[in-house]
Amino acid sequence: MEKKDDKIMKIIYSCYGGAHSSIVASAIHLGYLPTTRIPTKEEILNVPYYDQSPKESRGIPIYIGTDEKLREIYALGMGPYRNEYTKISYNFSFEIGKDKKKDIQIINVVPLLSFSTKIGGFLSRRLGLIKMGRPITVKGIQKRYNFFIDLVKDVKERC
Amino acid sequence: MKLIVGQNLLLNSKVFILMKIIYIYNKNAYAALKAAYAHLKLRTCEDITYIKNNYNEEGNFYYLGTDVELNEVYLLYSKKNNYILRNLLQGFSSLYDEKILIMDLDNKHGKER
Repeated sequence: MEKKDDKIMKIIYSCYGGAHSSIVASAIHLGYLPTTRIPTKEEILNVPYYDQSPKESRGIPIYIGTDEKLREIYALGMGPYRNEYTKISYNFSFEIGKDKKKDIQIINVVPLLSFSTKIGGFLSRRLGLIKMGRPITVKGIQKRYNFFIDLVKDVKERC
Repeated sequence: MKLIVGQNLLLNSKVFILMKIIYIYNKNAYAALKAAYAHLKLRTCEDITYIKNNYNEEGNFYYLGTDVELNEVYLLYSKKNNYILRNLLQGFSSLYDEKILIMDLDNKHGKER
């Protein structure tokens, strides 16, 4: 959230809670996680902000980093009303944001979520059972990791 | 002296911080429109059917005008009005370095967390 230059393309990976899938997609985009193999449990757990966002911070874009083409990468949790809030986000950027530049892409990562990531996320974030939930989220991410790689490659080519 | 610096206006040595003021509503636009027009010191249309038919697109920002301090006033209709929406608006305003003021007419703070 510290970076504020509106001339730069912003890519926002969005998911439900902003704690797992959007963070992993952002990390792949920025090269924190590999694109040629499935990362280990430790590699995933060492990604900044992984399984960290509290419920209260949903809706606030988390600045993850800047990629090689100077695009700003954010992760964002939108809760259950993703469609409505995605529209509001685009409208804000196009109608209210400074210069009204079309410099933003919001990528929905939720379809890549596996059932175990959802269960693990619920246990860890909602119920506070971190020791039980966190490893389950990692298993789920590893299971669908190839889809994350494909998505990020596609986003990098298109944006 | 009148000088515009970024989003701020320097007028006779007094700095006005220009803001976007957003009135949010989730059912009927009438109350929000009434409040926003009172803010703008304008009279509203009293035809409720007209208001219902013209301010009913969800997620749309309706620009209503600029107040005496040059703040822009908008209406936003969202059925899903909760803390995530407020976080989203504050977050995006920060992203674009804009100052916003959210006027939530549902005033559900504290009920839903």
